[in-house]
Amino acid sequence: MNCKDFKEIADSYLSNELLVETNHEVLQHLENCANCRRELGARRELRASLRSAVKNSLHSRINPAFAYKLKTDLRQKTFGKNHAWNFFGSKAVFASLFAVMILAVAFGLIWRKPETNTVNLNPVDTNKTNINLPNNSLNYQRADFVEARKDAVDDHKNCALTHNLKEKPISLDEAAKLYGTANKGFDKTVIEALREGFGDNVKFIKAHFCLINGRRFAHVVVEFQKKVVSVLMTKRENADETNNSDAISCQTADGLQIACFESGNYSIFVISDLPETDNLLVARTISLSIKKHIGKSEKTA
Amino acid sequence: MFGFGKSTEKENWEDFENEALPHLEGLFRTARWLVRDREEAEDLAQETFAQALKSFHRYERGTNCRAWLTQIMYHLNSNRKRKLGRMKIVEDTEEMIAETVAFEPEIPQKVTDEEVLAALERVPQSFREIVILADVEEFAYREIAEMLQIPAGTVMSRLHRGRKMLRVELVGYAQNYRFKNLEQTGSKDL
Repeated sequence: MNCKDFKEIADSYLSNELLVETNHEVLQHLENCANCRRELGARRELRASLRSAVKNSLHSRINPAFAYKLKTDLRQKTFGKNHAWNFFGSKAVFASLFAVMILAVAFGLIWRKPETNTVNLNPVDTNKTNINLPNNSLNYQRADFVEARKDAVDDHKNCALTHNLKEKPISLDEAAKLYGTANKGFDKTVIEALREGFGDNVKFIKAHFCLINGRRFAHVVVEFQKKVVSVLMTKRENADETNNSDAISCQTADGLQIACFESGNYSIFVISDLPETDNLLVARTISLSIKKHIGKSEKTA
Repeated sequence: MFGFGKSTEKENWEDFENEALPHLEGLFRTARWLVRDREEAEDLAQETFAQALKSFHRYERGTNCRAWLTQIMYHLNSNRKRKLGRMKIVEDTEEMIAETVAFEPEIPQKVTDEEVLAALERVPQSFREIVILADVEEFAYREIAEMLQIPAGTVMSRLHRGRKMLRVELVGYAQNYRFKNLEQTGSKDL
């Protein structure tokens, strides 16, 4: 094979469309030809740049609200509006199953009653989360970020789910005066973005500024698809390395889904026991508004 | 006894949810480059998934579901274009433009995303779509040929020309953009 032959099939080689024998000939030629190696390297680089430019561009990014609506519409198309009735076949069967479930829950509550009366002296430590999981984004493997993520999960459990905080939370307005202006209106930004994306499917539960494991979080709690969802924002310890990535990282810990991203001097976490795709969808829906909110507050500061 | 008559429906939905829905993002990305605006791309993606759900029994398990969905999308899009009278019958002009791109310039080093996207915008649609399907979405020639209902040879030649045109546009755009930047910096210095 000479350079002219190589040029003719370089595109197919790049697309991995050549026969094994031809591929072998190309490799042999490349071994001895620096010019063709350089040319191939440049083509590969251009291809990689193209892929990353298209995949990362806002132009081709899907609107999470649209994705959610599409999924809901398709599900409704399959089962009809009240798909629980369809699935169980008859209302009578569903009613009896429902009654059995109520009895089971009531029995469970009575059975567990003595436990709920037990005073937990150190709830934060006993519920401490141990995250040791694969991370799909290299940007989010810094020790300070991993620590913040652990604390965020602890906060979700102890504040949103079990209300076991050692220190009484303060309002976001108060926190804005003491710990940074980004806290002011954080709840409004989150709720507005969620309402825009999911309409009335999102119910606001509470918003405040709380302390856990020595770390402070602006904390918004909502209900979405009958699950409690926490949106937590905390100031980064090591804000020298600015993370400008648009990536949202996903992990699971103790049966909870964690989607996190960074903006300016802050790390943001969305935590719930929703399915991974739905938890990520919540994070995507709010990420742009939160980034704008933080950017604005950092400019005014 | 319990009348779980619709459990197949549930299984079918779960299958669809696991196999097809994860490709929504990629499919929307392709749609976005295929039609004129975001709203149209959303309509196309919605129609595609509705159609895919309807004919999911025809999908052969174990084959490339993303390619199957993209094929449905292209089919629906040609129907839409035909209805709207936007069907392009003669593509000779584009073919002629491609023929005139004989010279392959050096690829500029360290191109920005902005430069790449601007250059891609300037590549004619019939070449651009193949560059996107092959280089961004990484479909095989055979799959692209089935999606677009054209021979695999045409896919190869359009991809070759499309890549070449992208290179030319990129060099032109990068030079122009950097020249403008230089001009601006120069005027500031003065």
